[in-house]
Amino acid sequence: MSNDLVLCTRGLTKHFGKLRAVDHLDLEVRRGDVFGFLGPNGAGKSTTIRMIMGLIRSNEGQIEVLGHNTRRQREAAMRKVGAIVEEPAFYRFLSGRRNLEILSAMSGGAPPQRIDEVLEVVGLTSRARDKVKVYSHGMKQRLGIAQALLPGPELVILDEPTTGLDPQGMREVRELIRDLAARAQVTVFLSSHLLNEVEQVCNRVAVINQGRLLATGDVTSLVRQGSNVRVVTSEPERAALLLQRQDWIGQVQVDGDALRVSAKPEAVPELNALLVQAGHRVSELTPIRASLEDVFFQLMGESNDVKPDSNRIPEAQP
Amino acid sequence: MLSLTRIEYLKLSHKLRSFLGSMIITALLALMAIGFALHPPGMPGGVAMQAGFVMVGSPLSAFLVTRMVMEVLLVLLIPFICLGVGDLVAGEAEDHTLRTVLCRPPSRARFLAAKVAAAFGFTGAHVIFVIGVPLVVFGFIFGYGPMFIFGQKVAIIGRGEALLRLLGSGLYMIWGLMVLASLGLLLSVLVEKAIGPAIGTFAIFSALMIIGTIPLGFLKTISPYLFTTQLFKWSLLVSEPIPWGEVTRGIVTLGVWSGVCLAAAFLIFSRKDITC
Repeated sequence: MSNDLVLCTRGLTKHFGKLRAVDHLDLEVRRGDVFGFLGPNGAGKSTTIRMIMGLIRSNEGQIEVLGHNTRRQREAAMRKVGAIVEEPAFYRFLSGRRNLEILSAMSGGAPPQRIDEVLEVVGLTSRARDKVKVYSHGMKQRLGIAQALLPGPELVILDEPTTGLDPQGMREVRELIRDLAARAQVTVFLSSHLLNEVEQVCNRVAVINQGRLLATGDVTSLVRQGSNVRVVTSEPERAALLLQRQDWIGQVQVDGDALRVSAKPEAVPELNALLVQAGHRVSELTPIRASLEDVFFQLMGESNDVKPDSNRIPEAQP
Repeated sequence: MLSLTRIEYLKLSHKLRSFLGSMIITALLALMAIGFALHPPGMPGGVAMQAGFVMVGSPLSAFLVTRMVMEVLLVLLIPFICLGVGDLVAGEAEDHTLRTVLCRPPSRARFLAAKVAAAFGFTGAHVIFVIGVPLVVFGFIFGYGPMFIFGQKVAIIGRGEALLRLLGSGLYMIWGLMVLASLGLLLSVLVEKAIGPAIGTFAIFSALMIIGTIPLGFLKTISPYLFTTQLFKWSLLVSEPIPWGEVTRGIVTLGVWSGVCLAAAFLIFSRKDITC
């Protein structure tokens, strides 16, 4: 594993009886990434995170975290990892601070000022001595983030960290994630349903469905790949036939008197030249930027159409 | 490891149910003490003893009364041990804290070893309580005279030896109750609801107790190999003479039971998928 890779899975597979929850999953998270992990419910995201954290044993494949194989050297691998796996859970009969002290002791111990620091970061200083049983869902979520930050992690794994937070809290968590990556050089692995959130904070993403990797790469590249060009010509049907014969052009759809061409924005001049040379009168060529949400639903649609064995989509090209 | 064990004790000390057993035992001892103070019990051994001996003073001492009380309290202790130990892993699974702690660096084996240490401490503390408190309380009522041992013969042992024998009985009791704790831990790693292992451990204990007392063919043969049979042999250490062969057999049998239960618990827990 290259030094640049903080988290790497190879051929990761997990069955629950006949159900294949994760299927030969290859992931690469580089140092400094804010890596979004996307997929619908039941796609295998939480199972993957549980395998990374050693809560679930994989049937096949391997996981390396910070250069350590998690099966053989789990203790070393987890020393600099902080995580929230699904909803954070704490000892309800202990205070927030006492919970952090316990979890810190389990990671080799941290000085009391470190606990003060993380409580400050998540805005729980004034409630730190209250028992967790009186905490709101949002406060537990914040305490979850605090415990993930305790060991001074190099990698933070966050599974739906904004669930249950109010809009202000969600924004604060997003800012915290950005801060972690930018200032503290922490790599963040973020599993989320909120595509908008992922698009805002992540530089790279992986999309999975039915346990399989559909796409992975830079957010900008993926979005660019999912972009379209709107073309208005005098004879849309004939132009569509011409464009469909080009191997550098993706899907071509006739939409009334216009065409929707699956092509990158940089391809506009070439597209124009091709149409003009073929005698078409082009009156409009407009690049339409896709959102991550468009790309996500496009991938979901494709993955549900294709056969399981041909389910792989190659890595997005930057 | 020490740090993990300390954390387990901290968790136990913050749960009311950990103290439920000792609270009930304290109440029971207080009632007994009041009863004994108001109406001192007669000579143990019944009518035959009274017919054959002329007693001057009382044969009762804190040692003898403690030994008698231990017999009663051991039975009472068992459900509390089942309750406390059954909760150790399954309780964490039920509250979802298991996944929080297992995401931390320590291995599952270390985590479970800390739980075993906690179970051992929990059991030991209860036994010490069951011996220590009566010794102190009944010391005030009956004093610390020599201890009478009533069996086929009557023996009288000095207070030093009596204390030593009670301590030995206590250690044997802890060793025996560790089987119960190990069985509780085994069931606790199997399920994700705390009440299941508590009831399961007590049910297994009760079933084996019944099997061990049925004097029929095969059941009679297996009876000495049941931990329930051996658990109550702690009283051999306060009999005269001490049948060391039988005591040793008891210690070995109980050790095997604990070893098998703990080995199974470690094996299952190390391979278990934590999905809660």
